[in-house]
Amino acid sequence: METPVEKILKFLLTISFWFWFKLLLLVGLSVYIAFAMLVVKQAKMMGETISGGTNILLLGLAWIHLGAAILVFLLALILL
Amino acid sequence: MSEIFVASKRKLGTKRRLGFDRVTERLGREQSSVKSKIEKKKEIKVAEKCRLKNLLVSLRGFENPFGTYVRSPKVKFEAQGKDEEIILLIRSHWVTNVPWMLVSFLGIFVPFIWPFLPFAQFLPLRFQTILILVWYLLILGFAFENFLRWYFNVFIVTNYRVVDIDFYSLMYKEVSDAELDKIEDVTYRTGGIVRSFLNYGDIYIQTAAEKAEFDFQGAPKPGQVVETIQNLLERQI
Repeated sequence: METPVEKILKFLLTISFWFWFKLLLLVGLSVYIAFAMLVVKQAKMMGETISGGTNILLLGLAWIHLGAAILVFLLALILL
Repeated sequence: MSEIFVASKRKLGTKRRLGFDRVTERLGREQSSVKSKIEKKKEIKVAEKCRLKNLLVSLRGFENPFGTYVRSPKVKFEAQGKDEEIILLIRSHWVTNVPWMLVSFLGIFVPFIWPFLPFAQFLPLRFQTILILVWYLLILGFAFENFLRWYFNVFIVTNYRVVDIDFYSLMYKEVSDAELDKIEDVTYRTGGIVRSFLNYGDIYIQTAAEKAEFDFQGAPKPGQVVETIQNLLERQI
C-alpha cells in the first residue's frame, strides 16, 4: 500500500523535465511582469517629481515594456 | 562766310552737346542699374542675415530634452514655488551611461553566438525561441531602468534654492533642498584624463540646512555650475 506522499512523489517523477522548465520560465516571467508593472509605477512617480515634455514618451515606453513582458509570458504559455 | 562757319560750328556744338547728353544719360542709366543691382544684392544679404538670425534665435530656444546641462529648462519639479524659477538643471554626464549602454549593446549579440554553445543543441527550438525573447526582454528592462535612473536623477538650481533629486532603487526616492542663504561652501572636483577631456566632475555643497552636504557625481561643466551658484549667492548678499 502506497502512502499519499509516495503517490505524489511518483507522480512528480513521471512529469517530464521540459514541464518543469516551462513552469520555471512561467514563474520567472510572472515575476518579470510584476517588475515591469513597478517600472510603470516608477515612471509615473518620476514624472510627477519632475514634469516635462518627455514624460509621456517615457511612460509610453514603460507601458510598451510591460506589454512586451505580458506578450512573452503568453507566448511561453502557448508555445511551450 | 564767317557767319556760315559760325553757324556750322554752332551746329557742331549742338551735335556734340547732344552726343554728350546721350552718353551721360546712358552712363547715368548704367550707373543707376548698377546701383540698383548692388542695392538688390545688399537687400538679399540683409535678408539672408535676418534669416540666419531668426534661425539662431529659434535654435537658442530649442531645448534638448535629454540634455545634461540645461539653462532655464521648460520643466517643473515637485514642490516648486509659484515665483520660483529654475535656473539650471543638471544630470550626470552622458559618459557615465557608457557601462550600462555597453552591456546592453553587447547583450544584443548574445543570441547570435547561442547556436554555437554546446548545450543549445539539446534545447527544443520552441524553448530556444522563448529564451531568446526573454533575453531581449531582460536587456530592454535593464537599459530602460538605467536610463530612467539617469534621466530623473537631477540637480536643480533655482533662484531660491538648490534641489537634489535622487532615485536609488525602483521605488525609493530622496528629494533634498537647501535655500541659497544657507549655502556655506561650494566646491567641485575633477581630474583624470577622461574627466578633464570631457569636462565633468563632482560638485560638493556644504550647507547649514538639515542636510549638511549635497553632492552630485559626474556633473557636466562643474566649473560653470559652481560659478552660477556663486553668482546667485553674491546676488543674495
